[in-house]
Amino acid sequence: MTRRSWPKRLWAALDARLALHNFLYEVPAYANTLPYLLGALALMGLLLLVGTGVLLGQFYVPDPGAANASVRALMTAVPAGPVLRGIHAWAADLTLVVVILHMLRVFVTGSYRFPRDANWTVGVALLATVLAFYFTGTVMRWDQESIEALEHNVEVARLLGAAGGWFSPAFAAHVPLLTRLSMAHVSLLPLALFILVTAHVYLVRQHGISPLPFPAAPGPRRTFGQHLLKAAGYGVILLGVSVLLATLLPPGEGPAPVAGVEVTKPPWPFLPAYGLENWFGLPGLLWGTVALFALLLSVPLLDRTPGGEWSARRRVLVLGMCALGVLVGFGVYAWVSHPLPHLHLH
Amino acid sequence: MGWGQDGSSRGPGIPPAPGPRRPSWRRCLAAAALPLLLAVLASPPATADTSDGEEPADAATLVRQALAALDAAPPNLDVASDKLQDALSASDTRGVDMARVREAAQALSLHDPSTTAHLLIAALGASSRDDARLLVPLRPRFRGTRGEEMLLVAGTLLVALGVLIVLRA
Repeated sequence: MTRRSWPKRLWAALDARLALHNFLYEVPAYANTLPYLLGALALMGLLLLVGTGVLLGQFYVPDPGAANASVRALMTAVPAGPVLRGIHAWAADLTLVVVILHMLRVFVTGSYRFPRDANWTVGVALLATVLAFYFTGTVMRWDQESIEALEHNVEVARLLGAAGGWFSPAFAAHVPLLTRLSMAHVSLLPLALFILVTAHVYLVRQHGISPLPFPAAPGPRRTFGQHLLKAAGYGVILLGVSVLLATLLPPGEGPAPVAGVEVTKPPWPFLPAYGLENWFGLPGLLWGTVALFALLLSVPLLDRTPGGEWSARRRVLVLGMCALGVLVGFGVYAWVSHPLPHLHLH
Repeated sequence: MGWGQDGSSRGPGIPPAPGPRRPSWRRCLAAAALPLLLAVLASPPATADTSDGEEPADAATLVRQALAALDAAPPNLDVASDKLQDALSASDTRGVDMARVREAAQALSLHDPSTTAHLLIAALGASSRDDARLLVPLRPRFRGTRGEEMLLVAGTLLVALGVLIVLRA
């Protein structure tokens, strides 16, 4: 009787206890191509952010009087602090890019159509959650850009009236808003992320990988295990690129902020909203963002054309690309424009 | 054949898609009208004056606001100049070396934001409540140290490992 190799024995031991063979179900060959791996890659990015975020959280003081100094201490006095912070910052950007690309792939291939329309809604909620992570992370840096983001948060809450109560300083007058947003960044948003990702993955499992929008010959058989392995490979590349960027272009820290002046522009994910704010003021920023998410949520309602092929969905695809063009246009306009005061702060 | 292989890619127990039907124009219009309505709501004033505060009277705050304007990319010299003029006429000058603020104002009039910022930081250095170190931006750069070189090697190895996993999977 031949003795099995140790990896096979290890697999057998783990499989007997964890029923890992359940992950070896078949998936289409195209599921192992990069466009169909973007969702899994986004998940890898989020895991990387959670890991580095937990470590960074040990050195961060979520108090307006000490936050800026604690970030500086992390960058100057904590071993590996700068690279850890750099990986977190760059991974946040890269993950957001991957999330947006994943959403574009789902739109272009019509993967939001019945019966996956509910999962599209979960995906839109995930996009909002990731953006909320980005926003609260920006505020936590606690430099001039951060305080201006926070002032926008306060003014938008005021504009929303009773609906914005949770986001206003008056909700808990004795607790600084920075502290509450930091709490959201490390507990509330991760909880929302966990619930939404679980729902998203569950629905992908239930409905299967969405079909291609064009006829294609069936490729070689693949398993979900291979899909996961390939996603892990891309995740390792994401980590490597984050390390390289954190080393070559480490993120800095601005001076401790001062309230009452508006001289910065927001980071790139919020530039389209900033462009709208330049044109229509604060209501433009608020209602433009609401309109964008309403539009995203209504995509499955707007596209009820029978058949998922590209030729049948030409009109929807053109409209979607036009909407994307407008969004990018506002972003570019905001990027090239000089910072403008919108809040009339003193 | 596992589900996910066929064209419909439905899992067990998932009902089939509703049959082809004419697009409901009312529903499409309603869905399209919502963002439009919101856009109209967004159109009121080009700027929203939501402030209920007043111009700060203390020179320390005004000088710090001028510094923030100078640190912006690109430096906002107009805002910095306004704030410095206000600071020079402020009644509360506690903790601020006003002679240096005057020098800074002169440097700014010569369009020298770098010298202006240095003078303003020095002017605030006398203030007990402002930690001068926190007024200077911290901008780390790649210097090619041994540690940074090791990180570059580690990052490159990770990318190579990832590519290897992707190719073998």
